[in-house]
Amino acid sequence: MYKYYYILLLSVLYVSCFPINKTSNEINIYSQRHYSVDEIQYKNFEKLTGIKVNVVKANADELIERLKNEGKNTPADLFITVDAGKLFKAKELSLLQKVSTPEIKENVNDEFEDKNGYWVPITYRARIIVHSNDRVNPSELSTYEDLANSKWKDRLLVRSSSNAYNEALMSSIVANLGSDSAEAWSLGLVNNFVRDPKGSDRDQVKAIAAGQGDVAIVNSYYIGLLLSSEKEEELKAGNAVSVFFPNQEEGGRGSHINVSGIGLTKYSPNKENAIKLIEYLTGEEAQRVYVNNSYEYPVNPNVEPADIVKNWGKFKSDNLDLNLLGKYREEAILIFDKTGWK
Amino acid sequence: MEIIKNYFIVENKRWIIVSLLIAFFLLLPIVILFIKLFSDPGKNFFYLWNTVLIDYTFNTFYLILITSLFTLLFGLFPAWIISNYRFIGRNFYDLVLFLPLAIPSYIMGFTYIDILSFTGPIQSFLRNNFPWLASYFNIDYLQIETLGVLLGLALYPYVYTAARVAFSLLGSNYIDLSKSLGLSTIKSFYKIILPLSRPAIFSGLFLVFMEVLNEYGAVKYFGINTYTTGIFKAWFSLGDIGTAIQLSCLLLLVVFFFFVLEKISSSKTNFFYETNSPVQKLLYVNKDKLFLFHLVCSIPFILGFFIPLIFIVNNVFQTYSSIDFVRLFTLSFNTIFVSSLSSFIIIIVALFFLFIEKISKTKINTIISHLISLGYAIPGAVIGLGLIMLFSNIIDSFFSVSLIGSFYVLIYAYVIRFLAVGKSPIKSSLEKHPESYDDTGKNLGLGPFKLLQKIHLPINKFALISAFILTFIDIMKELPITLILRPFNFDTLATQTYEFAIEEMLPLSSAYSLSIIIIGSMLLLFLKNVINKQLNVS
Amino acid sequence: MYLEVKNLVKYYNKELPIIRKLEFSVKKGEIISFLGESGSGKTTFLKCIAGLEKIHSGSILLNNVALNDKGIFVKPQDRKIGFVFQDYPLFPHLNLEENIVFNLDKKYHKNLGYILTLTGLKYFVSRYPHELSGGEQQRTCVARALIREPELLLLDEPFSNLDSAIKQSMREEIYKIIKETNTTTILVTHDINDSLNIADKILIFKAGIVQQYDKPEKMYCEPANCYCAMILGDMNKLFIGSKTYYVRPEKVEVVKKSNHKIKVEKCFFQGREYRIKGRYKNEIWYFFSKKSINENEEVFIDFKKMDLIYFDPVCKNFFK
Repeated sequence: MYKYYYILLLSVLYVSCFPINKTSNEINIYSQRHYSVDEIQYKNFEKLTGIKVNVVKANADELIERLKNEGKNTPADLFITVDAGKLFKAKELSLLQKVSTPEIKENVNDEFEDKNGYWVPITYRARIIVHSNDRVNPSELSTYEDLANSKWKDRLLVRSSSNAYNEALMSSIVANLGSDSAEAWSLGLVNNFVRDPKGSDRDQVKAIAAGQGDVAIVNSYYIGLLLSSEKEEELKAGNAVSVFFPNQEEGGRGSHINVSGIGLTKYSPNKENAIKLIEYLTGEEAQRVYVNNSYEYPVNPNVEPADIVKNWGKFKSDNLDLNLLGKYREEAILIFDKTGWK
Repeated sequence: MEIIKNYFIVENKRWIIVSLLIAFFLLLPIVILFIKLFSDPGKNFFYLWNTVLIDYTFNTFYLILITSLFTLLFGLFPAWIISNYRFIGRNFYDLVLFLPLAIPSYIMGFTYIDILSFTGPIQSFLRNNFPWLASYFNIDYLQIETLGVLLGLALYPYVYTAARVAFSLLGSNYIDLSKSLGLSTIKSFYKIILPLSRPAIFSGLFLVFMEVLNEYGAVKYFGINTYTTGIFKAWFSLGDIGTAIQLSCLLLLVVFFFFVLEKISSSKTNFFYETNSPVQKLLYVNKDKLFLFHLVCSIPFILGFFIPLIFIVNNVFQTYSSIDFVRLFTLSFNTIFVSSLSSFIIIIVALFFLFIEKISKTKINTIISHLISLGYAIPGAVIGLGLIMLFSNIIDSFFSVSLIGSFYVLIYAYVIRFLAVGKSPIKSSLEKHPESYDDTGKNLGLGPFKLLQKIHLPINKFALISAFILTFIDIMKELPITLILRPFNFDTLATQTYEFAIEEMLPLSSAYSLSIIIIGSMLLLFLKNVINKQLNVS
Repeated sequence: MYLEVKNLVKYYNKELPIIRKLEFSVKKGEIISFLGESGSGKTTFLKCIAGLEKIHSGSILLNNVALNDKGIFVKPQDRKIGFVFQDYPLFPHLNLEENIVFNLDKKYHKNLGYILTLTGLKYFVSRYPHELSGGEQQRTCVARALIREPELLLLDEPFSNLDSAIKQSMREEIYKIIKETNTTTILVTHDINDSLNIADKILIFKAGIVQQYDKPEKMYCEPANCYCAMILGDMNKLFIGSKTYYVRPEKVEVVKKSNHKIKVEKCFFQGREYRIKGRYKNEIWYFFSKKSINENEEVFIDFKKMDLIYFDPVCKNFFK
């Protein structure tokens, strides 16, 4: 009797673990993005081409670790992150290969392209300032640097420093102003915090609506999500604040942006299919899907942002080489720890 | 006098060899971590120590302290009341008080913060009806103390269950005795009952410590930096695996310390249980106490289960139109499939090791049996890392296939992580049965395998079912291992809930979290049924 | 000889062997009572015979087959030895009948009816262990051992967990069953009454060796040393000259007049007669009397010279 259990168990194990990367008409993706819009995109692509898209979603660093350790045996073709810094890190560990086709070139606005050609942006988002409609006059706001000013004491809200968006923002400050200025800035910010950094971007907005603080640093699309919420209270919170794009002054460097991007892995087993997907995702149709579901900005110049987002107006974005976000990341973390940004 | 002292006369040596082999595989990832520890020492340890680590460590202990306090508060008193008093509603409380085990702590955290938030139902209600009161509630709830209370709500069933069993076993003899010695009920509780049940309560608390140390989703959301955050910081933010491993090993030492503490405290007081009759008279309650009793028993249940459930169910109704039922079904199937397969393997492995320990009588097997439980103390992501290193560096390059991202490795990781969970009910059940069952079995002509199959399997049936259900629920709730090691396109209810929640789309996650809670609750109710049956039989 | 144990040595701690050197033999159909104090290693000895414990040297032969010898070890499951444990371990998930026929060879199934009748368990076959009384559980264990026609039956303290009320009747029943099946039996006990009632021969075990191995009567009257004497019953101490003699209480008679005067300290009523505790030349003495005697009264006693037993004076110190 026991023997049969044993055989059954073994066969179940065997069948369930059947080698995954056997058939060739597919693409395997390691993705940091877990938005439901991505699934819509992959399904559409599958319908269009018949190529099956397989995804593992996890933390970008964990995925890099996995890619690194798998080496030549990796099943992954594409690596998707929400931070150019992580793509830079993957490239530095030589996990990626160059990718470029005329179609991609045409799809992507030159402004956002990787200068080294190792990754392709699919959307971008700005890290902006939101402020209370009641207690803050937009004319008081100007730049990221200005948030360190003591006039914002006990009025500033931001999430914790371990968040990748904040790491990227700090990296951009280091890249633009140097690490000494960045440290001073961080110290000023920490002094102005209403409370210890915590919660999500959306929580910062809710805290403004709740009157706990007056200004917050958040990603642009979260406001879009709040404003399109079906919950009345969330809608109210979204309407209690306004969006402000910092560093727009004459000669200013522009607001900090970051991209969601795709890299082609060095040992990609389904390279052709993978490139097809990159082309598809940067194409007009897919870009429109992104824009209307996740309220991010499109990288394709022929596609307009969603209506809610368009209402905030056009803005000047920081044209820093986004690879520097990865390069200065470690320095940014040291500054966070040194200045006590939790 | 010639003494035959030879390896070859060791009994059941084939079994022992097999057990050594399996133990080797279970310990391999940990061994790899230790090898890495010495071959690749981290360079950032002192940097972290000087900047943030002390702070993180303090946070961890503070969180453990608050959580333990609330688990004791929510667990001990109801356990005492239900073990000793008869009143209307007792059976109901007995049934539902451990249901919060079905709610993962991260769901508890997300849900409560949403309930309490500025846009949540409580504050909205107050703003609209009692504006003067609203401002008092408009505070920042994302505090370490709040998290402590919420973890207390999610984890108190560990203490409750342990205390409930201990209190019932102690019997009313001790209360009668202490009353005759002139102690009041409350005094006898503090002076007699608590000291006597300390080992049991401590073993429950030990599980709570482990859960808090391994907490992943909720602490991240609350922005609280714990020791585990330090590990991830070293590993990911600083890219320094060496330091991450150093920190993990340090954590392992701390856990080992707790572990030894538990062993010592339980070995000292073990004998107290044996002489007492398990039969227990229930006392009637007078009216003025009745209200208090209902209050004490209902608060943990209402806060820990009922309110989150209602809130989630409400969210499900509100998002009803956007629920993808096919996906919900697929994910439920995935969850049940991977949890039951892993739990099944875990109880087989656990039973195997415990049985070998029983029949071999060699020290090495006892040591191994303890060692393989260590996996429970290692943060899931670290186990994941160990396995990735193991497979990529050794096994995969040898066979030149990629096993990472296959069910093998995922289940392998679950087995390492949760073996201890499956082991403990089986162990205590095996210890309850006299040695002479084994001797009788052998005397009646059974070999070791038949002994296991014909005697130990059937007489420990209920313990095996309990072990299965407990590991099943733990695996169902598991996050970090599943996130990092899962195969392509493989989502579980837990990962989906987590993804929606961290992307701040809590209402969309409700259907998935509700499924987790329903599956968990059904299994727990079934388990309760099994336990009751077991009590009636033996 | 049917069972032969030679030079058996067993220890857990090498400095302190449990069994130093055990040597004895048993004839077919005999009931041997293995008598020793609690913790003296009696159960360990039975487990060695059954193969549940390894022995360190020596040999065990049963029915001319070596079970344990140099390089030979027959596994417990292959020895045809029945073992009834002290705590009556019936498997809780099986009913009485299933317990008895547990792992039973087909050829023995025909014995079931006979064994059930013999042990008087016919009407309980479908009951589960927790529904049986202590005596019924014990008989079930005996039945389970006997149904497979063992070449040797080992009983480990079979009566120690029973009420004194049913103890006697259980002894008789077990004796009847064993004799009826002509099963060679070793009965381990610390209770002298068990041994005297059932055993054909008694083996007194102390300090890891055999002290005496003899018929009960002979052992009672001619104990090999003071330990054996004490264990079988009370002894009254008597000094004659420089030598110490002993005499059994029942050999002491109350007489009208003699050389031995004794002061009564206590008188116990025991139904048929009185058991008297008295003081004779500063030694505590026990003896029996038909009539009650008041405390502090002085009476004369006497005994025959041939009933006096002499031991080497070291003996008493040795066994302390």
